Amino acid sequence: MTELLRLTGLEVHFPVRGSVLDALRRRPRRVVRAVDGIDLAIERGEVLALVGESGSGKTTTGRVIVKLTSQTTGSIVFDGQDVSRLWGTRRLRDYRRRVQCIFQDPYETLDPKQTIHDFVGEPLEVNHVGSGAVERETMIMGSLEAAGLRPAADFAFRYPHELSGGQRQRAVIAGALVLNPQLVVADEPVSMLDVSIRTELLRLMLDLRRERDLTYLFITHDLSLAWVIADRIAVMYLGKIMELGPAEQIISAPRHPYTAALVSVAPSPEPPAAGERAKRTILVGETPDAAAIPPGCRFHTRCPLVFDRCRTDEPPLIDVGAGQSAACWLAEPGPGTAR
Amino acid sequence: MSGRYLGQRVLQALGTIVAIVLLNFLLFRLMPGSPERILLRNPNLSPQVVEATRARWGLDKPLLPDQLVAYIGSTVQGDFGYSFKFRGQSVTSVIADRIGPTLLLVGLGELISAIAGIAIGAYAGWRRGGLVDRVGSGASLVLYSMPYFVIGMPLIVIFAAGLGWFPTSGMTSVGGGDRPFPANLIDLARHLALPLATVSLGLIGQYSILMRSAIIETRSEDYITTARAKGLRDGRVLRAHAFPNAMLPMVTLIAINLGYVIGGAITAEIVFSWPGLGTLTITALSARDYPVLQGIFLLVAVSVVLANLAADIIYGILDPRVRG
Repeated sequence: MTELLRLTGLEVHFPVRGSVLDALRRRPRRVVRAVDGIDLAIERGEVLALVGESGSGKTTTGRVIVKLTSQTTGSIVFDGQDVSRLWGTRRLRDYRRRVQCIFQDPYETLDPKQTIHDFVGEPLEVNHVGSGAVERETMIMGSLEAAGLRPAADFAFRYPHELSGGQRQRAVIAGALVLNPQLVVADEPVSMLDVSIRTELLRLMLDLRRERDLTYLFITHDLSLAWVIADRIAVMYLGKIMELGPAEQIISAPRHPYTAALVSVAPSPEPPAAGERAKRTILVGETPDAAAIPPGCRFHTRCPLVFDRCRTDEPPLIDVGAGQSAACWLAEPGPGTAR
Repeated sequence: MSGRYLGQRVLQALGTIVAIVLLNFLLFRLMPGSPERILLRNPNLSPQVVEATRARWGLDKPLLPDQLVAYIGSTVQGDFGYSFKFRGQSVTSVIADRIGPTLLLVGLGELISAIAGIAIGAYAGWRRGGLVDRVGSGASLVLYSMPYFVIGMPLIVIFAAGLGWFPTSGMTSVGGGDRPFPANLIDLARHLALPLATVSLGLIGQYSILMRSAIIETRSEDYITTARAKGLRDGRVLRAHAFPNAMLPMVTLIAINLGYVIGGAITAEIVFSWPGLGTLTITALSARDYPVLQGIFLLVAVSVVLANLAADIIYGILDPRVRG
């Protein structure tokens, strides 16, 4: 597999608006380090799940990739081209055609005053894709059908309020697909939907990946969902990747205490074996403020296995073999090492 | 728009108008003083004369049903009786004389301020925190909070009394209306300038504040973010998505304000002695000219109801969710 997108040293800081008093005291302006140094590569054709709690910076990472938020430092290389400094509607046109996004809430993503047809057709028009109305029409209808709104003619001229939640999200998917992108950044695409509809939509997304050679960055807070759909999982905590590796391995053999804690509380279809319940690790405390990230390992304030070094030194992502790596001093390097 | 929605709105409006007509009857019958005394204005009349007058005007008959039936019958025919103050003139003709100037002043004012207010508000909201926002929103708030006479007085002091560019009051100079074609219009325009500026300035603040907040609200919607991610340029996101959605509350406000156009901007008209319905209301009020007040009250109330109906219909056309 070849690499489609690479993030290197990505950081996104948001300044916090201080009070007048802070300004008078000449306190330095605080910044929220939403994304605090991410290195991540997405392979062509894979589904990479970016998992994390709210406030972990996963959504910001997604927004940086689709160029809705600018990074503070770091680079974004897409298909061999550095797009970090690419801005402006015209210069981004080619990139936008190849990278599209799907947002969480299908009720909010669609303009209530726009028909599904116009919603799907708009990207074609503004990006000057397709020559002439007839070709665009074919593309719009094709995209609606591909997203499972069949027959397309029945849905095309409806307004969002005339569709169910699942149908709306299909329309959103059709809008993202119409440009025939290579990478789709999906931010919690099913979390607002009923469980029964979720499966259908996930299947649709996976089918489309096969048919259209799509690559997904799937952003979710739900580790078990990531396990079902993703090839690889990256676990984020407070702006950094804590653990990265093949989905199966992350779930069955997590090397980072944070991942282990998440896995232990994830619901599982099998009834727990005797003594299983005791193994659950419930994390204590809340995620620290991203404007005041703890020194050393950023997880040490909540880590059940914390020791002295964690409080002072920040661990890098340590390769533990078989494509898995964890940012923990307890993770031992080398292939197939035991814990 | 579904016929059901339309039918419901029309029925609602009709019901309200019926209620207003009844209230109009009741309200003025509850007022102190008896109409025949105001009509005759002579405290020393013999009871026979008073009785005869009462009989002549139908005041000897009971309120219900006779007077009410007579009232509704003539109201439906557009007959609102005769003015006490302007002797010999019917209420209809008194109001008809004054409605033109008011429509001209407040109607034009609404138009100018709606366009300017929407433009300023939309830009300020879209570029929140920018120069237009800071200056425009501050000025809007000040203007919105000022009554018309506070805006109008300085205008008179500066532009009429001080600089002498415009006349201080009235709608025409003496004989100005009778001059040949371009001269009479110019005369009217010079008289109109200051009151129009007053009404427009007063309304711009209201419109731009609402438009600004509506734009700011729509700006944070996901479909705006989606539109950007789809590759729409900023101006188009504003024009195609933010603006049409933000216009929905504006339509309602403008339409409802249009209802009050008929009533006239009373203080603005008084300050500039504009011969519209606003000054008529004050004149009638101080002269206890109940029939004229009753006519104005009915006219304003009905036009507000009709403007609301228009707002509902326009809203239905603009918003697919209501259209159904």
